[in-house]
Amino acid sequence: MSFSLQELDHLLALSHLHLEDSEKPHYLAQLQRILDHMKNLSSVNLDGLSAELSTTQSTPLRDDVVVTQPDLLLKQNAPLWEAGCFRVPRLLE
Amino acid sequence: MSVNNDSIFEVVIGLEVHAQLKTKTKLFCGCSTAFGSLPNSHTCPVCLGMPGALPVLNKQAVTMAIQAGHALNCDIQTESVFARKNYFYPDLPKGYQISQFDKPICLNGHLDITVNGETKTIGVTRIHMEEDAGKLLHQGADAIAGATHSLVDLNRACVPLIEIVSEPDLRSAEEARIYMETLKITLEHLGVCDGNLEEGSLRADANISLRKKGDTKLGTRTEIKNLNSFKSVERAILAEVERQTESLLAGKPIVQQTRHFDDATQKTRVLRSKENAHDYRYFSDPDLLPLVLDKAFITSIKEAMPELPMDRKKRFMTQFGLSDADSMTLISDIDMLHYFETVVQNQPSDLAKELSKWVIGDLNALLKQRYVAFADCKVSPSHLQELVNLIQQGTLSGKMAKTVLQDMVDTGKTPKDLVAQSGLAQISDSSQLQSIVDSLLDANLDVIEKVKAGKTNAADFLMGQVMKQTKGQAKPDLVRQLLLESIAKR
Amino acid sequence: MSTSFIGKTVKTIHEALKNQVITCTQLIEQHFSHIQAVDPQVKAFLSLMKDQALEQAAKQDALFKQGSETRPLAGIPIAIKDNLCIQGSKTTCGSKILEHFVAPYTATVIEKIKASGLIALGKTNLDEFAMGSSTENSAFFATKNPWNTDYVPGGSSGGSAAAVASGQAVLALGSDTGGSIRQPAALCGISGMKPTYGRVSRYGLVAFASSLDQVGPFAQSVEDIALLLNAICGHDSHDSTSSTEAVPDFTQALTPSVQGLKIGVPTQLLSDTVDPAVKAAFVRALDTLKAQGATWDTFDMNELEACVSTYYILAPAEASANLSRFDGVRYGHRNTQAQGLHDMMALSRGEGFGPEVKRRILLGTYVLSSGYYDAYYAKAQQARTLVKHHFSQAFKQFDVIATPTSPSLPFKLGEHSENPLSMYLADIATIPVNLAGLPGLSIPCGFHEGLPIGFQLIGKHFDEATLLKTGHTYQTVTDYHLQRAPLCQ
Repeated sequence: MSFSLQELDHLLALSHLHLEDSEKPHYLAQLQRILDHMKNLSSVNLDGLSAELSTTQSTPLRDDVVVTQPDLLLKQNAPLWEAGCFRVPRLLE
Repeated sequence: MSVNNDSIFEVVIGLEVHAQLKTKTKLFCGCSTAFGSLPNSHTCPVCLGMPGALPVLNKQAVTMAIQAGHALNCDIQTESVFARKNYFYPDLPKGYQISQFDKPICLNGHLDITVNGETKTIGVTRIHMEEDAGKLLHQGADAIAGATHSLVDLNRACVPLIEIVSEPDLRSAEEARIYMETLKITLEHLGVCDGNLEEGSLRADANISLRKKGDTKLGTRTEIKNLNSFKSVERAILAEVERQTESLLAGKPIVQQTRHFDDATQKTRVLRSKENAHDYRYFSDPDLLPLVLDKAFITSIKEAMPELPMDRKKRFMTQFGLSDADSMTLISDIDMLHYFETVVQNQPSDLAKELSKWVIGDLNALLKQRYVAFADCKVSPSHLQELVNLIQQGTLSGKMAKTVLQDMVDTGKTPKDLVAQSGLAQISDSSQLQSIVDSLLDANLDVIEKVKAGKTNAADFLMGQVMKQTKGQAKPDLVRQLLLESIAKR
Repeated sequence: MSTSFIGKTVKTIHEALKNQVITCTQLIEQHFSHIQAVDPQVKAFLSLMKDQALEQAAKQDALFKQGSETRPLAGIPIAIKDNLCIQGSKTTCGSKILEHFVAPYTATVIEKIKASGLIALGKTNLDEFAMGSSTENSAFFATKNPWNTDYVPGGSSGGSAAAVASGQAVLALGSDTGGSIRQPAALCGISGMKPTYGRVSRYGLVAFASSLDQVGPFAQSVEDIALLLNAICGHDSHDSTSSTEAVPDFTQALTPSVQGLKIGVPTQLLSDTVDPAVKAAFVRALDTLKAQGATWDTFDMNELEACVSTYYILAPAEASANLSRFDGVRYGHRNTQAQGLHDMMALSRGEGFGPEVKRRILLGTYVLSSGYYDAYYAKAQQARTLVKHHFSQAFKQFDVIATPTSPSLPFKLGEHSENPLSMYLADIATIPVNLAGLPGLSIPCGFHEGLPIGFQLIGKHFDEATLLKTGHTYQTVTDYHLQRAPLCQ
């Protein structure tokens, strides 16, 4: 399964990661090598095996009661804080 | 120009309605869901998507989702799974939304709607639970594209939603609107959603396609996102149908894409096309176990459910003789409905019928004029009963009662007090009226001749005179009776 | 100041504190002096919490003076891996993207250790977001192996392991997703355990792979492991994956007997893929246990190699989603030059994440993406079920399973940085344990040219007790765990 630059760009867009063009061939080669190695998974007999977590226990349920929070350090950690909100650059079409 | 019966195309619509659940806290954390507070004041590490935070499911949200499922005749699944829907946007703190994908909580339901007096069954494919996103406030201009920057408020992030997906069974914009209205009423009646569209409690995405009449295969569909009023649902669909019709007639195929309805232009425009369509990369959320429900629990919820609105509507029609329209008005207004139910409680059915007319008619009109809610109405249910009783006893004419009611609404005084105060009691003393009738007849001998000749409506003039002399307080049927009897005697 | 309590175990220190031979304040100060002396060479710590620690020590001294202190871990210094949140303190996860992030809340496991009287000295270095096996992937600096500073301490909890091995802390907390506690424990010559999945709350542990991550203890002895395990285990309502299984007193398991214990060894981990020195030390350990009354036998685990592929599909997949929250909007690094929203996110993440993290996010995104989900992710989930089944089968025959912790000896800094794949393959013995959610304990069993070797014991679900018993017995008849790195002076 050959991994192309176009596919890498698609993954970068999906995962919102920026790579310089100069870095791309390096990542491409390493990912290719890793994916090639994963072919050994097809040598394992997986017939009839469930892909799901088998469970009898249900996810725990919480009562509908309000919990108040202490100072969450929002302003301190926010890269840009304005009018009690997180400020972000506009959406470019 | 809208698609009419002459169109060669059939419109196929499916609606995906998102309803906010009326829980006190969010879906996966204990933050308050109260609307309208200071931005980011109802947040915590979980709904802020802080590193290391983990979700824990709200039991009340599950109960409400099951109630909605029962009301929509669904199969409630004993095992459903939460999945991560992955995409990036500032109002989505974790960079994924916890939703349900291939194993939702409800499947295979339906909702009956009334279109032009006919019942139509709309299939409900599924209902699933998911968390809402926060709010992005675009600053600097009106439209998203013209903004200079945006502010993110995460109070709404993680508020519980149910997404109700209909089968593509709707065939017109009107049907879609009615479906959404019926859904709103149903969810309101259950107490599961407050149905407040202005606050965003209910939103719809519409999937629209056209096909030649007679075709069974579905045409290419477009999706119109975020319709948040009944009007916009109807208008957006009409606009899109027009656009698609024009396109197809011109030989241009429809491109599968997501569109947005622009209120200003009343047209739809592209948000994103299939090429840029999201790949959500759904997978089961490893921070949650599957939701496993006991059959007994599911049944107990069904048994505890209130009467469904459409069933209620039918009952009102038979029990109180209300028209379809009046019944519909009643169930569409929860406020009025609660008042009504208190008023008619333990009343004999003929009285109840009268009372219902007053509630839906005059009282409703008076309150709406004054922007007063039924919950704040000064006319207590017992006062209204008293008023109707006075009419039944003949103490008040219907006409007089309307005036009294207005005073009751404005002052909160009892009808008895108001009647005594203004001397508005209806005159039903025959002897008192007889003398007035006699003197009028003496002054209008030509009318007597006309009536005897067969023109009974000539007596109307005399009726009017009696009412005028008694300042409208004479009991009308009694006056008519006395007039005709007296004329016959002459 | 008289006696040094550097490199001592909990019991010794506890006695000294109880009998007022040393005060808690003196003990903590001793450790900070030692940190000052040796950490420039080891580089285990990212940040220190000296003021808080001394404040706690003062409070602790009052309790010891009253004579009312009964908690076995009271006053003991502990190091915390920097992917655990402590309110008001920096939590960097070894990443530039969180370089200045101050946690607004405290992880449940940290609340628990505080309640047991443990005193946190500081946050330790790790491979960025716990992704790695050498701690070289930290965005800040690499940690050195205290036995030989040319070598790696292992990873991703390298800082915690090195802190204990160099005597800078008595105990440490790490996290283990594919071996990140056990492997550095082995490479640093100390004991380290990954508890059964669900034993320890993950609330406040910055997630790498949610279905595989567990917090666990580092210590110089199995005895100390048991004490720390008691403090950290227990159900947490903040963590939906937290187990309600009752937590026994793990110190009750410390009876030194393995009579009749049946040990299973996967054939594949006795093969030539294992370094001869490691294999020799491992077999010697098996023989030691045999001499104490245990028996051991091999069993086939032929999908072992496929386990690495399985792990490197599932873990990055979960990680790719877990790390999406680092988008520059609410906290962490943000690129302020970007014009638009989406660019801002992509650039912030591109600048903030290191190469290994980016690699795994890309890998994870790929295996979940449309067209590839079935071939990779779904298949890996099936393979995971197979691994679970296979362990279940093996545990019908055996009480514990033993393996070398790592098939290779500690390697030099920089040796594997060009080839991530070779690093991945070194996790072959530890990964299957996370996939199955089982508990695993690594204990020192030898040296080769001055570098430690460890072996691993794997138990049934919630059977940490048998691991502790076996490990403790081994430590009563061997002295590898009593050796101290030269930097421990």
